[in-house]
Amino acid sequence: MNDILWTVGLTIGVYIGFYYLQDRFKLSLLNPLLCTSVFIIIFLCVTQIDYEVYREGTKLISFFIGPATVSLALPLYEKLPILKKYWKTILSVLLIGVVVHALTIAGIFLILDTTEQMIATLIPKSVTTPIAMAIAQSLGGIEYLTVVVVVLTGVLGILIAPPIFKLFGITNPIAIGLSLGTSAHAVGTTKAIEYGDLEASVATVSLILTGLLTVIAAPLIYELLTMIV
Amino acid sequence: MKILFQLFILIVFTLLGELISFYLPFDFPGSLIGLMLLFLALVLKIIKPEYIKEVSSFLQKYMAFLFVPLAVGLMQYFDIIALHWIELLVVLVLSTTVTLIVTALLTHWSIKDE
Repeated sequence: MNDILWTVGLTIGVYIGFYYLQDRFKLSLLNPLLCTSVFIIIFLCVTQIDYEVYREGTKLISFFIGPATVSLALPLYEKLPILKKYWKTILSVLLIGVVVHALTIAGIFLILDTTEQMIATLIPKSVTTPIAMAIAQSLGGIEYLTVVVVVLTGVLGILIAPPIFKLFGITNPIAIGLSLGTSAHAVGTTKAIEYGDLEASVATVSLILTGLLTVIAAPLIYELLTMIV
Repeated sequence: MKILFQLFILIVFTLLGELISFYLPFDFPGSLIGLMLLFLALVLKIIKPEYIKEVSSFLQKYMAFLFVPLAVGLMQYFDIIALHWIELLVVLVLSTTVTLIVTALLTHWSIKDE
């Protein structure tokens, strides 16, 4: 039997299903990537089909991750005017955001025992999936786990963002876009779109720049963390 | 031909990024080098946005879908998750909440000051 046909077919079909389910019920937890993956994992476990078979079949889908990442250059270019206008705020907040994120993880790992592999898996968790995966790979983390943690981070981010904004009285569009893009990457950007155009643009710029900053900072942070843990 | 041409340009930049990454003396993700090269090409007007527009927005719209096969790969690591689920959960909740609050408040204050 042709494995490409059924694996790709199943993936597209289930994804469409969950996409419309989320659209209908507007629940962040019904994230299509999350639900489709869980569904297919259960399917493969029940039918006792090896992950290798599924992975080989869906290689064509994974292939597009590279070009999709590269294509992010376009929104970054299109949002250049916004970046120029707010570059001081955006860059300094992003930089602090990346450092605070790393410090929080360091603090947790000082208290909880962990392995170097887990550190490498979790450092890139707040950046967009393709970049996070690339960082996890180069640091020696479990890239599959990174992908899932990144998605969960995004979903969690958009669940807690509205109450947090309310609690701290944050109404400024730049603040909303920046924090969503920095802490919840592309999933956060979808939330920013609901707030407005400026929020969405700032979120897009933040998510790409956070990714680039984290790529540069990640090896350093990793060295530091593995030294203290 | 337009879609094929746009896809070709994106693949050329991806390939360039991977090539450079391969020859770099340190680890740096090839796809990000490709992203920066394409950004540079756009700024220098070597590549016009129209050359990549449709395929780029298509890929970005379905970006999440592209990661399903990888996320499913998690099933190979159930034992590691069973071992580390507490720290995973703590890191997930704490670092996301702290980063969100800090970045939102910082921007809020710095823009108010201007």
